[in-house]
Amino acid sequence: MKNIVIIGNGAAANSAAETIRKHDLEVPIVMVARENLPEYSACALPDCLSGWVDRSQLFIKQLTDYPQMGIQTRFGLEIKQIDTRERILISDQETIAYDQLILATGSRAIIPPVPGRDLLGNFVVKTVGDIDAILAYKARKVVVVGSGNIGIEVAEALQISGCQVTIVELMEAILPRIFDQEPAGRISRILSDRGIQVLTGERVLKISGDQRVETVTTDCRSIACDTVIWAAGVKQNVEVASAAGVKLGELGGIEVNSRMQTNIDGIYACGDCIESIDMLTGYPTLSLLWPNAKRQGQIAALNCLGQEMAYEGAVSLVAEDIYGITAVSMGLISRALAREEIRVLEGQDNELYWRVLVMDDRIIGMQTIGMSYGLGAVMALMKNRTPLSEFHRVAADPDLARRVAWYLPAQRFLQE
Amino acid sequence: MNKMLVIDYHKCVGCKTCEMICSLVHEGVCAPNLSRIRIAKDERAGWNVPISCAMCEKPMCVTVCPVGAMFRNRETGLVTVDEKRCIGCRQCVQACPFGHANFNPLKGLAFKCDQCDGDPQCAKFCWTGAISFEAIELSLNQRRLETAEKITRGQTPSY
Amino acid sequence: MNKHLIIDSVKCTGCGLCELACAINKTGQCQPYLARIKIWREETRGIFVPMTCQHCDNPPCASACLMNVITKDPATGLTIRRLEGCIGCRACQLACPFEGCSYDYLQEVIVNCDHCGGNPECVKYCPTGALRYISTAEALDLERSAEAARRCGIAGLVKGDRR
Repeated sequence: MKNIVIIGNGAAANSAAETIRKHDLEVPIVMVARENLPEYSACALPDCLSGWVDRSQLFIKQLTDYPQMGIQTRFGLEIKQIDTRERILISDQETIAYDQLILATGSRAIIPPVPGRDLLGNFVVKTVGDIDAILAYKARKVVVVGSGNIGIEVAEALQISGCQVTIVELMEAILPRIFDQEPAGRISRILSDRGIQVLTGERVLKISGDQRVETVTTDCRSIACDTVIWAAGVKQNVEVASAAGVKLGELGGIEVNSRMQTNIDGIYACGDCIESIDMLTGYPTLSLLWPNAKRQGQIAALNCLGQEMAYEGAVSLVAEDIYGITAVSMGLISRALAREEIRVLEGQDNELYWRVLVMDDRIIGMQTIGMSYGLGAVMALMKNRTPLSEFHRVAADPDLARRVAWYLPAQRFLQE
Repeated sequence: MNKMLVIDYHKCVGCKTCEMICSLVHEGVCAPNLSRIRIAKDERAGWNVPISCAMCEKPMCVTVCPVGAMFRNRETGLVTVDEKRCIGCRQCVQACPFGHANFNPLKGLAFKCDQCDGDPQCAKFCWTGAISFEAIELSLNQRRLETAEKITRGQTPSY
Repeated sequence: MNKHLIIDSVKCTGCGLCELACAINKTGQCQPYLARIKIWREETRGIFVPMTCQHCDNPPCASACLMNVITKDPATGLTIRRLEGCIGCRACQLACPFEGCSYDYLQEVIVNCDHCGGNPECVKYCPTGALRYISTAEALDLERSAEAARRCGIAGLVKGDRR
């Protein structure tokens, strides 16, 4: 009987395994992963740093859950080579034969080539191991380099647990890929109010110290610290696949079609390691978000089982909890659309702030600070590509609006 | 689209043949609950009204669907459910003003009339002539003729 | 699952009894903010729409959940949550168009309607019949009957007439 091998043990890999098991109780599934840990939620890692989430709470599965689902596991095994002709995976310890392969190798955090990056006290936040190392190190004065969502969450978590925190961001505003400047400024003010120093437009030049990190030097100043946390981006784990002849896309991820197939027959890929199509623009994108990875895993699994199913495209959805204030960004931001003509619907109501980006009469992005009510409806309208004129036609008529009840909470954001 | 299911409920006797054939063709069982066309009846008042999808130009089921599973095919004019996208939230059930958008509780999916891809079996098997599949213009013409006939006979048309 | 919370917003007057009944039953507090069902109120236009979890068969909240705590109960067909795993990140709220996920600030988790184990309190207290706990097929029958009656020009004869 044919067997399916999944490389990886993250969101995409587990969602693929679960989907296969849901549709086929018989087919043998083997999961191979480098870490010898059950599935855990990478998104909750910063919350674990602050103590808001217990370490044991991070784990979504137990190791015993895999055999219960009829999944064989080879955890703690690093695949060195894929032989696509013989259909075997080669590692130092053993070889594993596959009939169909799902690559969900994910990504890893990178540390840019800055002098001093090997010193004790340089960390990234990507795995449970990283968290354990940071907790064991007992940081006091921390510099967080990069201010994506992980950077901001880590900064907040460490500040809550008593550290003195500085954020250094290369771009002119924090969260440069997630928020526009105006909302990013508001978030920055929230952080500064709580005592986090936010430095934007600064490049880290070197890290110096005797064995341990002592100072971080940027192009404007030098900051005394004992810990540097790198949140400066990730790199797709595609080396093994690429060496086996799997084609990569322009952005450095594995190229797949809408059914998550790679260029090699019988090999599928999903999750952080692939380049997917953005639902709103139709261009390739590297989507590094949990819900997208899960959906891609499902699609890969179904196609692997022979059920044709096309992926509708990745869409960005980020919810940040910044000192109890919810900041949400979904869809695209102005920077990504610099050359297109967009309309901005902005509004403020006491502590709430929202900003909706409209292009060609359709919502293509939204950012809010301070609330989460009514955003699900905007998200659905955005994904559906509902024209705003159509929305207003329905919402303005009380009889129609009652039937399409979920439109109503979105109204306040979409008024001209 | 130029043809539609024309329903003359004055002719319907409520035999439910249409429900049987519809569920048989689409689901493989004679189960009225899984039929795309349903007969609403009130035995005391004495009426039977077959209700099927009107293939509206501005369909509420399409508007309400939060995941875009319902859509209106521009070429055929049919309002269709994409079963792969349907999440089973039952919004279309609550939104359709005719109570047409149907829901299969076993599959957890919405389903609706597809006019059997141009050859509706309900119209074929309806022996009373209550359901017919005809060009809209022809059907209107027929109505006009019926009305004209009643007027010339000195009767007031009933509709 | 056979029965569903069918909402007829035409009949809702926005009285809020459903919210109170829900909050008292679930948390013991008479605090509409804690309810799993919420009424969207537009006083000027007179639109009142109760909104709650629709228990989708393939729920978008489950795919959005960062901790995989949302699942479908195979026995009842309800969308259920393993609350001890919830970290309150609100991703499910953003994925749900129906405002079906509400934040319970007492437990600091996100909760949703569970049909009160098959006997929803909100339906018991709804004075106008805007909330009904019936099967989808039954709801459709009522709707079709109302439509048929309207076409036949004898509105009011049918139970569940909407107009």
